[in-house]
Amino acid sequence: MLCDICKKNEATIHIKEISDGKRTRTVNMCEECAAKQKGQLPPFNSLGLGELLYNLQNGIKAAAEKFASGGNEQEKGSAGEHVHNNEPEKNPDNPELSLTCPVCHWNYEKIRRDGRLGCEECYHTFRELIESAIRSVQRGERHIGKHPANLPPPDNAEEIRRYREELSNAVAEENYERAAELRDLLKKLVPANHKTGSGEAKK
Amino acid sequence: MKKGNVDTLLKSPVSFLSDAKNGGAVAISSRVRLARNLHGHRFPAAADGQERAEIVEKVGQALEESSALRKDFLCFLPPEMSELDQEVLFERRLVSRDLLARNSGTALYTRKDEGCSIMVNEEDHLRIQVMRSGFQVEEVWEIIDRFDDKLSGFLEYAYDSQWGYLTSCPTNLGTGMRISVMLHLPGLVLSGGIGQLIQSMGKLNFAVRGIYGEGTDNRGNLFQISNQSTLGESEIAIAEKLHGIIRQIVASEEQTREKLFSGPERYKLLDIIGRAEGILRYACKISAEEALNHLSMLRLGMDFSYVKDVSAHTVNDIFISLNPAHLRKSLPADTPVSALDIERASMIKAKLREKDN
Repeated sequence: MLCDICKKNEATIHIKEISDGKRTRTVNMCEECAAKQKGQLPPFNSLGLGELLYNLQNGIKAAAEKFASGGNEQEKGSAGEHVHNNEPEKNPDNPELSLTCPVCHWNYEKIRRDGRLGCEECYHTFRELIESAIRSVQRGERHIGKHPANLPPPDNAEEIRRYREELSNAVAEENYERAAELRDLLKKLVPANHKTGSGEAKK
Repeated sequence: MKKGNVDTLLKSPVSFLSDAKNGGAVAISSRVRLARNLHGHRFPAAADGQERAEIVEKVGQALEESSALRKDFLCFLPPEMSELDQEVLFERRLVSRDLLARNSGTALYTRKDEGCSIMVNEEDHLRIQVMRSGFQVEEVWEIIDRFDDKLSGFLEYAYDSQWGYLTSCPTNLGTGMRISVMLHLPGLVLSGGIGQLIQSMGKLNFAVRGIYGEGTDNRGNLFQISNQSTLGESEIAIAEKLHGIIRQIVASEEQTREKLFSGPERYKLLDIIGRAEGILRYACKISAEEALNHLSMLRLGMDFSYVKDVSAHTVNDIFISLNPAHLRKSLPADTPVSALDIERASMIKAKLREKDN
């Protein structure tokens, strides 16, 4: 799919704008044009979190409102753990943007400024933003590579179930390259063997 | 662990490139890095000085505790080093600008041969890096994989079963792996094929950039090809993909070079090479940029034996030693920039004249 703006490069960033929960507008951009939106020279590397949030807030207001209205309200449970309330609420003041990580006190403003997260817990606190960033800069949404050698091997059954789900989605979307990758992965996993971090079979 | 000394590093300027056989080869070097964070600590951007110091200590301890690792490693503390020494480390690709920008709580642990190193508290707690000369993509992956496994026996990494290795920026999430090859592509540049290469890399989810900073600056006809995505593919799959792509690019560059040297325009090219060698051997002052461009032509000439009496070792030595901080190390502190160009020319002349070069 070609970039909507320059019509030359492959579009690798797809931003969907949702207004009033109904109207949608999709913009497909190549990295160069997306980065130019911020008035910078195009880096060949992917957009960071900072740029993504910048674009979402300034280039596409509706996407920011989407965060607010789809919002997770943060509550502290017992023992200082925080619990996500997943009921969406409409809030015109964008409370999403005032979320704070309970461990490191990072917030959206800091993410915007640095393009970085503050700690592991931020991955849960800012889950939506991160998942959005992942979708636009990464090939997949789930890690399928090595794991630390000192951790027990992952539960294959769950992995297999997920891959099968992803595979049928990929086929439905006619993303055959991805489907082939998943098929090959499943081939390796289905004789349910424990895999250690560096024990992946070399072809 | 021994404290590192930049002057010692400079005694073997070619470091990980020292086993390069062909100075005119298309693939100059291969590099892989892994981003890792320690469980239970804030990432470097959020951590205060004390926490960063703890992390430096923990990584140092981990290296100490492994008898396999302890004896080979040196420790550098950039905040305590002179700016000049910091620059030398940067020029040798051991540290990044981001690391040097922090005034405290950072460290560099490196093997003496600089082939394996760890930056501590740059963007992530650990940035492990392995470099080798030439086209050794799968090899560098195997080396870093083993090293990473050894380290994880002594350090607890921040890891999530869905997202993989947790990094301070989602662009590195999952494998935390950036694997790249530095390529010398004068053929593709001269024949105009480089634009298409860059485009096709983008489609495949790989990035191409000049090795000197961002963008398409192609000083010295040197380019770095690296993966862009780090999540959703296994490390081996990424390495294998890069390997396949590099093989194709190397073949394409070699074919293009053959064509250029056998086509009707070959005397133009031979003339450029001859003049480049002449300038490198006889100029009295030369900028870094000019030196790199002529060095590129020298390498090209070496590949086809039009340039004789220059070894791969020499050309790689010049490649690293022509950098400003490297030159300044042997000059008085207040040397003006203009004098660097004179020193550079003198250094290049001397190295090209060396007997066993």
